[in-house]
Amino acid sequence: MNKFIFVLDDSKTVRASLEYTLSKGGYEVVAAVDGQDGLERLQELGNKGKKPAMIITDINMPRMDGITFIKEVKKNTALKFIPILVLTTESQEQKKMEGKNAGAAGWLVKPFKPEQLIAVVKKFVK
Amino acid sequence: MAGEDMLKIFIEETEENLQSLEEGLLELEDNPGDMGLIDLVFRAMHTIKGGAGLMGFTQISQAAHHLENILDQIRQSGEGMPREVFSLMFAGLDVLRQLLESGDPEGTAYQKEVAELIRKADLYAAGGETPAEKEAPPKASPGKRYYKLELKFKPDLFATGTDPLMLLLELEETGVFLENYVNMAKLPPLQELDPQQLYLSWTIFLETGSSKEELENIFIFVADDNEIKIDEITNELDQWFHGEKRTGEMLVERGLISPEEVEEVLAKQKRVGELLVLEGKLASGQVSKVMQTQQRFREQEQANTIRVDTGKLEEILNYIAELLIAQSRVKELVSKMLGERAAVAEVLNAFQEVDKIIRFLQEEVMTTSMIPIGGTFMRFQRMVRDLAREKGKEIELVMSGKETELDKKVIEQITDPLKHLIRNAVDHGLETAEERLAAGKKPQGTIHLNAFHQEGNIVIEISDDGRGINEEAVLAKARERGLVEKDRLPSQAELQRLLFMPGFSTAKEVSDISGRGVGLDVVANNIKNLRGSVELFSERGKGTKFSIKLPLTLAIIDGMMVRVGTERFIIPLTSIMEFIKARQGDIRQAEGKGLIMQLRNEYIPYSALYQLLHLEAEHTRPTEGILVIIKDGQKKMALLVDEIIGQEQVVIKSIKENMEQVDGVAGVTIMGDGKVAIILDVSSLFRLVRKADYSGSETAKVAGS
Repeated sequence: MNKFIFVLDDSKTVRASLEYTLSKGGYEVVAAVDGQDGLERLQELGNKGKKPAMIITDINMPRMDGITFIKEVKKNTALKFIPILVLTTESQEQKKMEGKNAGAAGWLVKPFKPEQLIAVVKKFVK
Repeated sequence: MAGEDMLKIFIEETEENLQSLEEGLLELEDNPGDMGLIDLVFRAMHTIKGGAGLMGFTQISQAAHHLENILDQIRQSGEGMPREVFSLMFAGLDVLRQLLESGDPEGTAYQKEVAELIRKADLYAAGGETPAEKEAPPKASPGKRYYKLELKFKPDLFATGTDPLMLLLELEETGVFLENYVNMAKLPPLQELDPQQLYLSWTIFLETGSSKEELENIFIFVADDNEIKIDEITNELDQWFHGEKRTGEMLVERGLISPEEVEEVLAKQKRVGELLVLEGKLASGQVSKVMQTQQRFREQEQANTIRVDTGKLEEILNYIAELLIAQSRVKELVSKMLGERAAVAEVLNAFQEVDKIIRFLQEEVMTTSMIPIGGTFMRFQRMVRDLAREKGKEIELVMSGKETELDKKVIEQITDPLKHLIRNAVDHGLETAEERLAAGKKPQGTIHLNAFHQEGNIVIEISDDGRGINEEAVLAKARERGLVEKDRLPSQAELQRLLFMPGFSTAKEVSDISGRGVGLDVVANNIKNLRGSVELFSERGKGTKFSIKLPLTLAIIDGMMVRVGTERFIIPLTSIMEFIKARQGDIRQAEGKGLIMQLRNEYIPYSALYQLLHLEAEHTRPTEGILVIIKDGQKKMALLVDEIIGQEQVVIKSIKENMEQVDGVAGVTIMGDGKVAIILDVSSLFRLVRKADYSGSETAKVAGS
């Protein structure tokens, strides 16, 4: 496994659909259930000398939300240049603000079509 | 986010969008082919729809949806705004505004209006398709389109996780790069290069089958924070590549150098402006003015803004005000405790520093709640347009000083009076085209709105080039109502003041708009409540001008503290002209009126504050106390007080809510020692004096003493 995408969502359905679509698009996927889990996973992966090419995260999650998670990632010099995409159901302005303030590179509104997801991911990962 | 906040944001945003929608439509009426404007109008409508949909306000989102469809059609057609669509759009705008302002945007109060609007919109859309289709074939071929893209990213783009290369690759997938330039001017020498920073920018000429929107989609995540410019190149394509252009222009177009750099080099010769001045084609003042404007535009573009709840700002201002009070209290206590020893000077110096900082802070915070008056002016454009149509008059609305800033609260409260005065101008001030032609004027009347700063105040002027005020009619009316005695010929100023009296109207017909006799007095009152004043200038046949003077802010005034007996009063500094120690003979008895004072070459009324407010004073003779010369507009008056204490910046605490308004009193303030001082309202002081004079003044008795 070399280039992989790291996804965070507390909904099993969303995780499954992300994994399905992304793997069909030729990407490998590692998933976490919330921000807390996400940070721990990233730590583990880092210890093995691995880091994702891109992160896709939900905003509303238990234990640690997506925004806090992004802020944490941005504090880490080894991880801060990884593009982060936020999944959101908020209004246009709202989602831009929230994601951008935290340091996300882009956003995608749920529900999305598989081709939309791939199109956005392609902006960041070949 | 709580639902209430969401609602607030939605309403705020939608109001803004309605505003830009309206402005856009108005501009499009003059310039229907402006695709940028059409786009802007479309986007505004789109955002309204989206927001309303999210909030579940189906009435608004439905109405907006149908209008958006039409705008989208127009946008896609590329043929500009058809004339006949405007009335529909304006009607739609009104319905949307009503829904929003009803305070119940999800309510059904306007169901009929919305249904009617949607019906009209659909009707239009159905009819509108046919002509568009006829024209479609020549345009329909998807063909190749040409774009010039300028991509300037911010240096810290990488920190967001975005790689510009990926975007360029995505762009390349849409077509062919005809020309592709990388600007490396900002690239530092290797040893200074920060690998985490982006120094490059790109200019690309692209041939593609994609629409501009599709291209914009590529840059959707970076469009807001970076300079992404996408321009479609239409028929001038040949010029772009084959036309004769200057080297400088070519370089600038390809993003290799900036226009500033060209200027810089050119400056080593002579600047265009300077050359023109040398050639006598321009005055040097004009050049520098243009350059200042340019500078201002640049600054405006660069200003970063955030939204802040005005309630918060008010709170901050209040705290600063309290801080001011507390600090002057401490200052007073310390100086009492320490007496006159050397340490005092140092402590007081320190306090002065604190004082200065608080004042700076206060000014800074105050400016944050200042907004330009332009937005308010723009609103009147539509009103004037509609009114002019209704009245069958041709009117042009000219605006200047749009960038003049004043307190948001003041702007909110000045809107109605302004509206009234503009309506007056349309209704009474300006003549019909025929009347104007007969009077030897151009058929189109002009209303000019102007705003500017003057001596710590904001002045807003509403002037028209209409018929002016018919003074004979005013005089006749005044005599009829017994306001002016039969044989007396009042001065022009006095006549104009009469117009501001309650129930005074000379309009021959009561119109829909104004002229019901409740007009100028309400305007004058509103303005007075803002601690402002209004003056009228009019010349028969030439026009009328209302000049409104307003304070910069409502919360704080610069005042002079004076003493009468044991009481202290604040007189607003803007109303004070000078202080005078009167000599014997300066004050005289005027015939039939009160006392007057000779101030150099003029005579002004004299009054004593202790008499006006019925107080015990230390000095009752004009020569013993101090005379404060105060003014209200053109009027002046000498006011006797016991002592001048000093200049103070005070926070106004309104007493209106608890008490009836008292003539002569504008409010109160809390002083450093915790005591209360009354802030005098100068213009109502003048009224008090006049009242006293008319009722066979008691000041006359003092004159004899």
